[in-house]
Amino acid sequence: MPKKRKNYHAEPWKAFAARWRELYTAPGRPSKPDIAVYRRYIQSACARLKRKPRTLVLGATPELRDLLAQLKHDVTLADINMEMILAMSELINPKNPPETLVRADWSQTPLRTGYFDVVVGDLVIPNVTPDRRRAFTKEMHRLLKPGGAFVTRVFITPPLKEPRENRDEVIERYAHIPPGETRSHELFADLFMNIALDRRRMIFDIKKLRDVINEFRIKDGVYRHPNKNITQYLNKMWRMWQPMDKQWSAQTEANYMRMLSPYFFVQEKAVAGVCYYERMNRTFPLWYLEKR
Amino acid sequence: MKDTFTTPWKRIAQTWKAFGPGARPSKGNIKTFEKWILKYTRGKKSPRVLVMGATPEIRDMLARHRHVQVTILDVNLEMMRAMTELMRESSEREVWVRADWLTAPLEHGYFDVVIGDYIKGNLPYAKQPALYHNIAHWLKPNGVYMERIYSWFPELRIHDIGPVIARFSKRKPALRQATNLWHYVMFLTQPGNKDPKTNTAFAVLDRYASVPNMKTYRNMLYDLMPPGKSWAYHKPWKEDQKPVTASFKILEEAPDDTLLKDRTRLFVFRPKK
Repeated sequence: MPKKRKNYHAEPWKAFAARWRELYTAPGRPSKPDIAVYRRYIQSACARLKRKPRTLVLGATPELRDLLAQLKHDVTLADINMEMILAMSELINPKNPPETLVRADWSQTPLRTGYFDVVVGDLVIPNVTPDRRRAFTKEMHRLLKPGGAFVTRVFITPPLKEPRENRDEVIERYAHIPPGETRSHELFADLFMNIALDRRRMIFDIKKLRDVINEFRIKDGVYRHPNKNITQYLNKMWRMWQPMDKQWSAQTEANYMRMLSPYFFVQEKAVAGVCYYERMNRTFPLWYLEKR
Repeated sequence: MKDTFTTPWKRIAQTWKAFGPGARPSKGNIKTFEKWILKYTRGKKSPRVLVMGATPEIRDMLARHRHVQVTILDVNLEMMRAMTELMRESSEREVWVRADWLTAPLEHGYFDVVIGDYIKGNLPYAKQPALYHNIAHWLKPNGVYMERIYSWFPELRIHDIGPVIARFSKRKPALRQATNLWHYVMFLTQPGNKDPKTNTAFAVLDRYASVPNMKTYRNMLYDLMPPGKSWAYHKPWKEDQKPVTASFKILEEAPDDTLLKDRTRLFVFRPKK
């Protein structure tokens, strides 16, 4: 029997779900300033509605689900991993009203055409494999009512011709800034952006990052760097992302626009975030897209 | 108000395994459904089938037809997960929707087949027209709906409780015997003017507690079955079919071959234009 090919975009989330609470921080998950922008965009999209707003959440991000419960939306959740939905459901406010849950590929759902006022998802587009991008965008367009909003935070990679930093340059920048809860993830995202791109396939592959930090590995899953903060960040990074085989298809802003513009136009963009380097916050902007 | 129709399934999910054909569809039932599905989807490259509920036997059959796209719809995630544990085939390709049958935001005209096993009685009569209205909308215009339905068909007979108790009292109490006894006490011996309730069946078992082995059966069933579960099962078929036939016409029907065959039939329906 042929061996089933692993989906390196979706399957690793099954294991990450269990580590989310302890190890996953901004900028990977939305910060309070990000949530404030989400709130503003979602409220704006539903301002003229006279009935309960209907929102589709892509993924299972607890912060977004809590926000939508506060805003009294009728929530439907779609994710390909039931494990992720279940694990994330442990982290939401237990008083939230029940949501409709859908385990399905985002690019092909059995949900009703034009049913939703808003589709919202945090960093969802990089989790769509390149061959499904068009189908994904088309499906979001189908699910939204005329004039509906697709609100999302994106991970933007700098233009390809822009020079990248090497491992040591990135690490050096993080070695001497004040430590913080989100620093490990900021370092991860920064290294990832500079190092992990497989230009041939235009896929960000975390294995590349694993290989470049290998020099600091003293035994399985244990890293040591001359700087104690970096040691801590690298170990936390491994604990979160092990076995480091996930892939993302983050794109340049121009490529995102090429993908989205046949179906959506940009209503507004914002930069929030809590990263130490403003450049990293600009890497994770929030977009309010309106259905064409 | 406590929902006595759907909430108790959470407990039933844990004990479903103890049941044989009757409450669960038999191999013969599944063959009938399979034959119908293949007949009504002939020529379709990738037919879409919606399963109402999470019946593992139906899902196993569908999973063996790799070209079929399966969606399951149930209000209880616990039930969906518990039933998946009982499957022999992988459920990986299925789309799952955890939603109320009456409010699920599913696409209209999307499915070639909708199929359900004993779903009708799991909703109060007042809600049944809306259920079948939804199903008819989710189907393509030439799609079909299939269901194994329990009702008071004209030829039904009410079994006499005395001989049933006498028969089971001679058998060594085992889990499968207990669930078979349950079918009789719950569905085959009770008069037809009231909706069956688990509590009514428990009262019958209590009444016969002094008969050999009955106390053991009763205790097993108290452990297995949720108190307070009821089914909308008290109308003769002529009345009972109205919520279905308001939205559908009957295309085909077939007999059931389980313990509940006196009161069960399998149907294929097509939405009315």
